[in-house]
Amino acid sequence: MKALVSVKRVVDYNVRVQVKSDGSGVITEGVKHSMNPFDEIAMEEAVRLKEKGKLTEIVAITIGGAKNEETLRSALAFGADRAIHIKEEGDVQPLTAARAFAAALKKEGAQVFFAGKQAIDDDANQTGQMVAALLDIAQATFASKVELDGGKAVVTREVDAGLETLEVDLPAVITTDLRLNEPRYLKLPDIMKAKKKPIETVTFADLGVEKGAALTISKTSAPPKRSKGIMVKTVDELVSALKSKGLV
Amino acid sequence: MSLPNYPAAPQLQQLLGERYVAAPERVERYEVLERGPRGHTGAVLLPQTEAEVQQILRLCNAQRTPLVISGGRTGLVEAQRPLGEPVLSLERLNRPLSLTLADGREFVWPAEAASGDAARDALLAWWTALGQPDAEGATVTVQTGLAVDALNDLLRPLNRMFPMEMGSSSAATVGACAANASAGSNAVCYGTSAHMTDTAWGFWGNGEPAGPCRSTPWTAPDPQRFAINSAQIDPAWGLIGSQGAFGIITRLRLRTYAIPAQREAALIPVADMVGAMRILDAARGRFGADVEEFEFISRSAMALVRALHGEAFRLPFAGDVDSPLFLLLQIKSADADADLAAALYEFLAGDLALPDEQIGYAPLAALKKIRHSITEASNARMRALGGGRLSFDTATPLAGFGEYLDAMRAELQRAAPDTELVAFGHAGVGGAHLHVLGSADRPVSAVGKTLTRLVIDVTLAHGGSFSAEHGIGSKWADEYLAHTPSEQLQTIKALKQAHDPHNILNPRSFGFDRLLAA
Ligand SMILES: Cc1cc2nc3c(=O)[nH]c(=O)nc-3n(C[C@H](O)[C@H](O)[C@H](O)COP(=O)(O)OP(=O)(O)OC[C@H]3O[C@@H](n4cnc5c(N)ncnc54)[C@H](O)[C@@H]3O)c2cc1C
Repeated sequence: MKALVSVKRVVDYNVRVQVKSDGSGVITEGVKHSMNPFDEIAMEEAVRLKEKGKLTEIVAITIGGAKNEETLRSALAFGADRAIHIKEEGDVQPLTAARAFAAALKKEGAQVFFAGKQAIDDDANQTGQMVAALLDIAQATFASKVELDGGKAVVTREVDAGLETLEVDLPAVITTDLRLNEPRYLKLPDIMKAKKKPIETVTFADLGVEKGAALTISKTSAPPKRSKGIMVKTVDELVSALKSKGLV
Repeated sequence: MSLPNYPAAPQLQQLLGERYVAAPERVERYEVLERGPRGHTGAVLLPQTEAEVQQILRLCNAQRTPLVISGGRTGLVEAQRPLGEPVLSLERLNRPLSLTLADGREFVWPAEAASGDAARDALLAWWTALGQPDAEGATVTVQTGLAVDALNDLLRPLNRMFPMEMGSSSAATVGACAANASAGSNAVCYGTSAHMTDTAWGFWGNGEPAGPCRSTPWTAPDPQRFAINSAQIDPAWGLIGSQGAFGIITRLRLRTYAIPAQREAALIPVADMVGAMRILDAARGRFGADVEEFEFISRSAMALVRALHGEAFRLPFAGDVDSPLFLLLQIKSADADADLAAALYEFLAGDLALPDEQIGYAPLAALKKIRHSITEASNARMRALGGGRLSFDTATPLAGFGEYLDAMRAELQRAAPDTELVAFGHAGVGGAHLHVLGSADRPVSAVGKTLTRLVIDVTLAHGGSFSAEHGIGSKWADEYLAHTPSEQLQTIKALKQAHDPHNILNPRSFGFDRLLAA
């Protein structure tokens, strides 16, 4: 059974992101990038399933410019068997990405599409769901446990009330939540070997996808600054300060 | 409340008003040390201008009221421990003052944006308005009490740093780092804080202005000489590196350094320290000044870190690699596009011929976490064993460090087989932290004197120093007096007599109370 795993190159989660002075987005030049952490979890899960004999092939796929090759190389170091690079230098919106992934999924004949529940750059949380809708297949989002059995996937999700277990027919989309697993450390020798592996390159045109522009970002702004706190000496002072701010 | 019996108290109180603090609940914090026995004091002085520091010194000299100097209170050698003296805390002298680019363009922090986010944003706005020029060669002038992390928060947006990497950097002040020549885990690359200081100003103990004091920039250490040694003060550097013995730094101009575009690190198992030092030579040969850290971690230290983190601990090897020693090698590059991981791999697998399973590799933060958990892990083990701890911070010239450490570990094992030795430290500059842990049955207090003697004897026999970078303070005063050549003692005595004749500053540090009486 084959799985397709989408991996996105994003600003590293340790970087303190800065908004561009014109508010058109955040500064990404000269900033460390790495694989979206939820996609690492998706890669890890796929690799574990393959180690258990539940998958036979893992294909990593990304959309983006030349630098995205690094992200695919990381996926290969994780244990992906093949890597597909959908080359596109400009911005790609979730719906366009979903169309491309849906086309690739069909072409590859993969039974499972693994994706992170969201990418930490735009936090859109849409792509996996839209791939399922476009192909009219089942989806199990926010997975915290995944089992593959024959033509089905059993997926546990953390919901407000506790745990929910879904059984979905394959092919299906599974998006990964934080507690699904803890991704392994990539080994330096594996990273080196991954550098030598071939990467297939395709374009939107090859996949028959047109790049849409359904939404425009009108403004990006930094979170409001925390205003300075005040020091209170007694409980009475605390109560009156809270009252004066209308908080109690 | 009656005033404590300090001759200078009434005038100090008049000078400082509310910033002369005598309330027991407020002074208590200054009596408790990060490490070492508790002290006691009747007053804390909180000057907020450099002029006030000078006035305090003049008053204390006139009235012969000795003081202890305090910054972030993270010092490990009891220099800041009061035994009755008032504590002079420099915590309110914590403003950034100005940043100067190599071409002379200067930003001066306005009073209303002198701390936190406002200070960072003001600098960033200025730099952005200039078109974000390369800040290579920029210096930053700050007051002594600014914490290391707070300074780095200001510099980071300009892609610059003050590279003092140590577990205490959130509280430790830049002035104390310069005064103590503190050396972090990246000293192999950037040197000590003394080397990172371009100029320091302040006051001698007698209240006279001191400075400009200058140090020399760091160069790769001569293997035959000490790279770090708290027991050797360079009189030519004035206030810098003199550990508050002769004067107080109030203001400093610090060099800033580029934040590397990339870093890579690996954990390397080695059989002994002599072999480890060969690896340092090889790494230097290949990466030159881009060797950013070279630390060693003993098997016992690694085991404690493992125990501390429990289930969450992940050794970064494919299998369960065990080794008497591990090295943490970190390299850097200014080139964002260089394939640094490949260079590291070529070094490890090629130059060192390490088999793949012996290459410990993980995200940098994970490797750092191992290194920076050792102190906490040792603390936890000490509490669990209940037999106390002796801690040493020693150094030798690099050429002899390998033999020294191997000999030290063997000697301690032989002399005190019931104790646990946790060894780790700055192998790249020949520095070792040695923690000897006792147990409830065999507390270290029973063997403290003998073991201290042993550690010092072995260290001296290998041409080493009993205090690498933490300073002398009052903790090592006896050893300092006992093991420093008399002509050196005469030199520092003369310096003390010239600059602090009444021994007002940290009176017990270096044993000056005894040295001046002799
Ligand atoms: C967890 C931990 C990790 C540490 N790691 C390291 C390390 O890797 N490397 C290292 O070198 N040290 C290390 N230290 C020790 C300590 O952080 C440094 O010695 C640091 O320089 C102390 O800064 P401070 O502001 O806390 O000084 P304090 O403890 O407040 O002061 C100590 C003494 O420094 C002198 N001093 C302070 N300010 C001035 C001044 N303005 N002018 C003149 N003298 C002054 C005085 O003698 C004073 O008594 C560590 C400490 C801890 C707790």
